[in-house]
Amino acid sequence: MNGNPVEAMRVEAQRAVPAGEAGDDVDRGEEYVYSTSGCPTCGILLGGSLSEPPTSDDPEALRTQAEQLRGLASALDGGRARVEDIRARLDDLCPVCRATMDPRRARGTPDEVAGRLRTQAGLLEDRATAIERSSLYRP
Amino acid sequence: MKASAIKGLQVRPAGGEEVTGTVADLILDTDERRVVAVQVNRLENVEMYVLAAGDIEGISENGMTARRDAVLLPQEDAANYLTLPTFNRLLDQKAMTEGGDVLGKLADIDVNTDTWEIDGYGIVNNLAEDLAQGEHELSPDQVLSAGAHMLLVSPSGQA
Repeated sequence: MNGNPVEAMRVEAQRAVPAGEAGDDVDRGEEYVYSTSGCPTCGILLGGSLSEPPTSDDPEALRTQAEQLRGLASALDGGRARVEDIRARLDDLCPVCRATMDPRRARGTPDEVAGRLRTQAGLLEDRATAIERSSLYRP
Repeated sequence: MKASAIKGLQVRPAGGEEVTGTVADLILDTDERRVVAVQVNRLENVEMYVLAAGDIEGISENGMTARRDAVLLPQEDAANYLTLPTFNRLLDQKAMTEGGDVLGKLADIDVNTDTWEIDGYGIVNNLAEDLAQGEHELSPDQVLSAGAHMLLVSPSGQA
């Protein structure tokens, strides 16, 4: 493990959940181990080990992700971050967050990127609301 | 696959035979150049729900399969999805350059159903030209924005 905690987390998380399988909650009888440093965005999904990979259908996680996206959009609006900073930030997410927050959004002008981030935040919030209102949801 | 062919497909849950509805419309994020969801009309009543593209397990000419654990968003919980442009709303709308030149009307959208990215916008000009040449396709890069009444196209989109 190198000295960069974010990089270490990313490497570990990607090893645990192969690319393209983030959010897949099929039990493969494995233990999914994540760095205790946690994902810089969702945090709550990481830390310790899990018998199943985290899914992106946890309303609290979805709302956290949406809040983070809105925060990044505000940082762009206020000139506190550049598009390259946002791209780097999204690139450092765990596989589950990457699946829903998608670093490919960070392209174009700051206004365009902020708009895309807000659109995606809105979609995540809709999903969280629908899950919470579902009769099957048990917090 | 053409958006017009996706519309009307029957939707089934993975591993199930029971049809839960039919695709009524496609919800588009034209900035992201992709289909983000489909609106599904339930068969038993008129109620509609939104099914995110990530919750679609498979699609063919015979129908669409939703993931076993798909989240079905009732319309009242899908406010943010429903603010985005849809295929039905854009269909037959003008494709116009920033300079005001009308290139034609939107006839269809070509969708990559593996990634749900928009591969192209099919534009038709007039009936005589359509019969002679068929629709001409604009790449998603050429579409600057899609509003309620038109597609705004970059000058390079001109035929």
